[in-house]
Amino acid sequence: MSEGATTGIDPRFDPRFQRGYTGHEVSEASRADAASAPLPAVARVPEPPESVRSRMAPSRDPAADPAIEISARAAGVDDDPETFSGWIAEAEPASEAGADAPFRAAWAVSAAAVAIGAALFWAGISSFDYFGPSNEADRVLQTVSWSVAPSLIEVGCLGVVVMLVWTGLRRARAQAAPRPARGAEAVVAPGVPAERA
Amino acid sequence: MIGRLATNPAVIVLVILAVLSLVGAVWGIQTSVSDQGITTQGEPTDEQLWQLRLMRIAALLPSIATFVGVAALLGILVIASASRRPTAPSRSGALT
Repeated sequence: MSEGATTGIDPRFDPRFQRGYTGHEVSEASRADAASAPLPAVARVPEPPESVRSRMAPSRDPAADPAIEISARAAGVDDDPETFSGWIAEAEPASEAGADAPFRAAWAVSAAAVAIGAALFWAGISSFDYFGPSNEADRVLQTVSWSVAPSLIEVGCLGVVVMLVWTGLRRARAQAAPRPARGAEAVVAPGVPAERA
Repeated sequence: MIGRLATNPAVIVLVILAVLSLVGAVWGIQTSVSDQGITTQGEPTDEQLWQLRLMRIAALLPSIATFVGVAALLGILVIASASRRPTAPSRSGALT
């Protein structure tokens, strides 16, 4: 483009990366010139004012600054993986317990319906008299037993079946889910399954 | 699919429940059919009272056992349907 650009070597920069460099005219002097040449001016970011810097400065209070707490913990404890396992194990049971609460409640309701129905039915049978109920309490008990107990047992048994199906479906979905690639499993965490059933 | 079903504990329990329901329904029907009634003079004995209670249970059992047995069978079929792995698409793009 320009004559000066093709023939002249800028001493401020390494001549090997400049146009016109042949490799013969390089000398120790030119390299020294390049090293001693002033660096090109670079626009510097101005220093923030004191009021802003005081707000940017990190707090020395460990309770207020979590970074200090983490750095202190890392400095005081070795890098044993068991040290970090506690951090992971804290959050997981809470989420699983929350997700399984309706599941356990449904099991409890089904079992309670079966138990209450069976107890009522047995109470009605036990108080049965060949010549009819002897007093008013037996009459009420037998009436409730014959009317409520069969429905309770039936609904409770149905609930148990439904809960068994629900449990089986959860397991079947966990089995039928496509497994992640070996590499992906290794990246997530060694020894930790990628998906929980 | 049968192998996956056999390794599912819920399916095993449902199968046991269905078999028990079948046995209970058959026993209840047989007991109710073979009931001859009780003839007593005066106060019935304990044996007669227990026979009477057994008749009550036998009268209640077949309906519940049939209900639970059919529900368990349906549950097994639902789990079997959910245990099928998704089929891989063929090269032509159609599902096999």
